[in-house]
Amino acid sequence: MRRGEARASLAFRKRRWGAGLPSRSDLRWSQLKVGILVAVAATVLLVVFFAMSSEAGLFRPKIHLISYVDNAADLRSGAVVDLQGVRIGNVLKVHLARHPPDPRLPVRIDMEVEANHRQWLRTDSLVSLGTTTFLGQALVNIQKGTPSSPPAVNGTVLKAAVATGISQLMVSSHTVLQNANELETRLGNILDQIQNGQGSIGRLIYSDVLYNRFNRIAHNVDMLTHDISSGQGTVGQLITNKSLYDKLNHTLDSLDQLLAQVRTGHGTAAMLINDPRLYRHFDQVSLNLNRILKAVNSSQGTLGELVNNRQLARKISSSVNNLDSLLAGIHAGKGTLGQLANNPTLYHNANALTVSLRNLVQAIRKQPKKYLTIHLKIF
Amino acid sequence: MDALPVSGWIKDQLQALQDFVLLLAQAFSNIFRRPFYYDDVLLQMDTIGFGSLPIVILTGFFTGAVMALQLSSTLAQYGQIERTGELVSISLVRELGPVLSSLMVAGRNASGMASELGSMLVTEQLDAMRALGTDPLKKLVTPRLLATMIMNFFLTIVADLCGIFGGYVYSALAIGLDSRQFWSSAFYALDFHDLVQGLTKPVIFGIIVALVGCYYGLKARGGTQGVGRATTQSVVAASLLVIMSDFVISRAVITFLGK
Repeated sequence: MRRGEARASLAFRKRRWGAGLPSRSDLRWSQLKVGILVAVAATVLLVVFFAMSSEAGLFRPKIHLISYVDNAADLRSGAVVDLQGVRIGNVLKVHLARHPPDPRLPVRIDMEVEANHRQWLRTDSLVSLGTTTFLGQALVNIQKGTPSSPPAVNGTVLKAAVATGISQLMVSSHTVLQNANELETRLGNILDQIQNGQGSIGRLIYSDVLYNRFNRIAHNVDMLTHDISSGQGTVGQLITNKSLYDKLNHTLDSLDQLLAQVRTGHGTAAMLINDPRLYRHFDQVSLNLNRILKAVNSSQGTLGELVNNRQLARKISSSVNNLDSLLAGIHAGKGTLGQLANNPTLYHNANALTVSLRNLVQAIRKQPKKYLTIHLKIF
Repeated sequence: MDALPVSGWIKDQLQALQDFVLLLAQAFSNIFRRPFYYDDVLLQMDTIGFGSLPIVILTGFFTGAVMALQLSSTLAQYGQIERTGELVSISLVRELGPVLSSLMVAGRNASGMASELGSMLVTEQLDAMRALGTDPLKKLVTPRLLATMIMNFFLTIVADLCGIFGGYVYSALAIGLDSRQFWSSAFYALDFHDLVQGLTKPVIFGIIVALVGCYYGLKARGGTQGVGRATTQSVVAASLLVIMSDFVISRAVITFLGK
């Protein structure tokens, strides 16, 4: 049994290595084959490694950026960081900060990005969370900053923009849907009311009252236009009768002639417009008036004294008061003048005297000799 | 009466686990102890690595092609057919490349190791080696362990490359995908986490395949029938352990690397 197994083992070795143990040439051949395999596999690995290194920027200098957001939106460490959609780094850490600068933004995101993008990475660059596709992995997207802002450096805290991830989209769409539902309900109620003929629009659509009114109005308008076109009434006459036009035309012609006369200097109005003498007269009058007013202001003449002299004014005032009291006494029938003004007896006596005098004159005229007898006595 | 066979089975399993762990410890400790059997390591690398190359290439190539075939039809429904290369590369590098190449190596070499060591055991060659002052573990197990670890690593790289190439061939010929688009998306999808995961696994799988093969070979009992049984058991156990440990390693890498 043992001899048979030993022979089997020897046969196995002969099958693999020929007769006996492997020779040096067998070993070298094995070494060559293994070396080729290892070299090929190592080359492939190196190619992949360097391809990934160049893609991921493994050996490029990096800077550390920080941002605070209100919700991480399933962002994990290792997630992609894009600048304007171009991959520039990865998320190092996502965690709830103990002392966030703004309590409304408790989630701190630490990112490591390539430093050679500082031309676009500015302190006013905005960080937003998104996804690679609609259902894809969460990522950080950085919007480029303005050139006037200083470039981001190691440890710069970038401000977070309003999130546009799928979760935020769902939240906002939920609100929109709620509003849409509410709007739909209200619109349904309004349509029901309209269908029931309620309200202005419902009556407008379903009630024939307004239609009938419109119909009557249209009928009246039709009749009115017919009357106007047939020359009836004032408007119709205005439109169809030529006499008004002729009168207006004649009036305009007259006006035109009048204006022509004015332009040629005929008549008072034309003289008023065209003759400068009236202007000069007015000018002279105004100069004289001005001179008078100056004299008045300088207390020259009677009028000046009247205007400026207070003593005279007081005297006049006193005289007026006296005159007033005098007139009051006259009005009250005091004194001779008062009696003259108020007592009719003198008037009646005077009237009777006048009548008697007239009768006397008449009698003298009739019989002058009776009255005009001159008795001449000389001594 | 029924409790005795169950307790005996449990005892056997525990003892087997202990023997396996001891074999693992001894095999690793022998790596750093003289004498070093470079020629044996080289011969095993040739047998295990270069000998397994054809099946690994074929397996990788057709696996990548099949993946492109299946994934492209599914991705086309979502209008994402251009991402075929991305999915093929990620799947191969992370999971299928290491697992399939390790299964091929297990099927070919774990059985070979079990039968070879089992034959030597039953023919008392191991006893003869001990009598001549040679440690059979150091002479037979440690070179196989080192060779399997190293070559499985490189075979997995070849399998990954062939798999992506197979996916590219199918994508270019059947789907009409642009080659630049396929290869750029395939590389763009990969990152260092994928490489770490995809290249850690073959090393551990190599350890499992080599030690399981050697363990069953060294534990072969009952002459040639026992050798045959050990060969079968070694392939089954190595394959199962590769798949089970794949889950554990994947979970551990995701836990520690976050992806």
